[in-house]
Amino acid sequence: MQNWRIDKTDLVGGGLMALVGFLVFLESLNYDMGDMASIGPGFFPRALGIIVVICGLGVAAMAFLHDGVLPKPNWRAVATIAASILAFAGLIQTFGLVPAIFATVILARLGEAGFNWRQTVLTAMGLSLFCYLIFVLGLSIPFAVVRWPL
Amino acid sequence: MMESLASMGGGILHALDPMTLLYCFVGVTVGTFVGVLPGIGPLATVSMLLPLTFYLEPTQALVMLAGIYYGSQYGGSTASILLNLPGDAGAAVTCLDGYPLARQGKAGTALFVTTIGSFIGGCFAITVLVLLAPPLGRIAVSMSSAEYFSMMLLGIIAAVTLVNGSVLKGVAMVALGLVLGLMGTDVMSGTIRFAFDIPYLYDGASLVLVAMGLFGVSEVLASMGAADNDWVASQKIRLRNLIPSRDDMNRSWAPIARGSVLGSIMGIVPGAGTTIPAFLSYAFEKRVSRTPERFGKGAIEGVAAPETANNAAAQTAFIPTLTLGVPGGPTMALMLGALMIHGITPGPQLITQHPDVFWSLVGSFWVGNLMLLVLNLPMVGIWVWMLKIPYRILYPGILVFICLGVYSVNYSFVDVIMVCAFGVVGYILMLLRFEPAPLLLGFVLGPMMEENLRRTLLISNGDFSVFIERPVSAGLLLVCAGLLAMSLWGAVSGRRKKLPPSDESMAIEAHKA
Repeated sequence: MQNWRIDKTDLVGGGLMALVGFLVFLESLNYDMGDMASIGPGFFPRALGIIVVICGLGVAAMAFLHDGVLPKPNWRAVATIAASILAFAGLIQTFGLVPAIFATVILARLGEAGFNWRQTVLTAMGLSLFCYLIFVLGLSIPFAVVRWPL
Repeated sequence: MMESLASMGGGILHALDPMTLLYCFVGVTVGTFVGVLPGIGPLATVSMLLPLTFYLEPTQALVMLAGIYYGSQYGGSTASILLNLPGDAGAAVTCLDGYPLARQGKAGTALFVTTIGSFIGGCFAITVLVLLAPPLGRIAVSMSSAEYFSMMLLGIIAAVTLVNGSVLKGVAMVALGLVLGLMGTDVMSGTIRFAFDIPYLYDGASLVLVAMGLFGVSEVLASMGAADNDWVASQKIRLRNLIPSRDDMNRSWAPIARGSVLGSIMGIVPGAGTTIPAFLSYAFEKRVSRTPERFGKGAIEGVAAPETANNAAAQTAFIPTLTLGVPGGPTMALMLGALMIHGITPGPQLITQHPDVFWSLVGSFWVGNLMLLVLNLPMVGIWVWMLKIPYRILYPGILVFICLGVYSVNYSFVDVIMVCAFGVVGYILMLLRFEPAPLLLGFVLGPMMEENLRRTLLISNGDFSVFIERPVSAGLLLVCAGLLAMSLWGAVSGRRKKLPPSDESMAIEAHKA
């Protein structure tokens, strides 16, 4: 196994693609094929699913032709950015623009080294003002700036 | 011909209305602002700024979109010259001689020539557009659904084979994009596809969500933990530094002229995008030059020609999109989607049935192009200042804009969650070295391709050979087959295409440096 050249990234990628393509194909089995003259909703998806599976298998097969290591995802970035966006989603409707922006900025900023409270809060304040000017005043989009649900 | 000119005059006048001019100004400025940000190319920029146009009247929205489009192209060049961080692959060529020029203290010259060249290239391209569009529109009317299907197929295959290293990955991405585009209620049969009993998905995924998540959020994810931009702080760029020496200007005219022609012609070809014209133009200049050894070390021709070519190509890329309704590449697909959201369906009917819309668009192209020239020369100082802002402060802002932009479409926080999901998906794709851009192309084309396929088979009563019997369709399919064969042969004979990947992977590579 040691001497075989495997591009692990492509192997995983190709395998994943083939799996997704297969799932697409499975799902499209639920839709009517119709006949040749009047193709149903299942025709195109089924064909596409098969194409994706073939491509995925192809990529995985070609992975044996050269070397490659698995990529290292930046877990810290994914966690903080995802949290940041989800925080926005959670806060914007209930609490309004400013709290949402603050949460987003603070959580996002945690993703990079060198977190500094003063810089972050200033950025959040600046952004809140900027967004208020552009979106609420400039484009007349009715965002509530701050809301306290009781 | 004369009536074209008259209509165009009307369109320009329409675009010169003060409010419209204001929106054009905003579009160009904001577009450049976001385009300047390292790693964010025109595709990501337009994706993120699209919601800003929703609250405007169609003409104003289009003018702003056009402004955003040019602005982002120009912004990308600025980042290439000053930071050696191209916003997209087309701008990567500019780095080759632009960055050395900047290190020699001649950044102002490079930026000036870029602006002038882009303007001239753009004007030339718009002229080509005006000349070619009406006759093309007339030809297009005689095209049937078979030709449309084949043409869309060609656009997809060309985009995948000409740009990316791995055709298999590209095809997989396009196919998945097509599937994603089909998600939702099928108009013909009423069947709800790929919704998994989630009512939210019954209408399918919205273009804004997919584009913002796939390009905006994933871009931010990919750029985290990367190198910072400290070098720019030491640069002083002022207006007077901008004017290039006589020698430099003299050297630039011919490359600009050549770039205009090359870019305009190549931009019409589906799949070429702006990357190939830029690279070809650079290679051509080097070939034609009497002193090719200067290239790579700060030859002004190496900046003038590709910048002109890529702006010209960006303009003529509108030709197939507007006259035939078939986007030439992912960025055009996004513009097409944006136009449709504003209620304008590009295609042969556009020129014949809604000539006022078409000519207003053309007018907005002229105005946008001019505004780019007029604004960016004095505003260069601002862009440079912006590049000095550490990325640490910028990216939370980008994220906030993305969230706000998405939320403002439907006031649905579920949309924001979806953007997060698409962002993570985009990031995973990038890590696995799959290009997300073809996915967007497939996504926009999905429903259209299926509709044309259905219609063709309906008319031919299930006979597939109609695609080969009709001459135009057969010709298009032949080119498709040829392109596929070429890339297959290239892969098999071990010769890997050294063409550049798209924005995102360039960002990853650049940030790793």
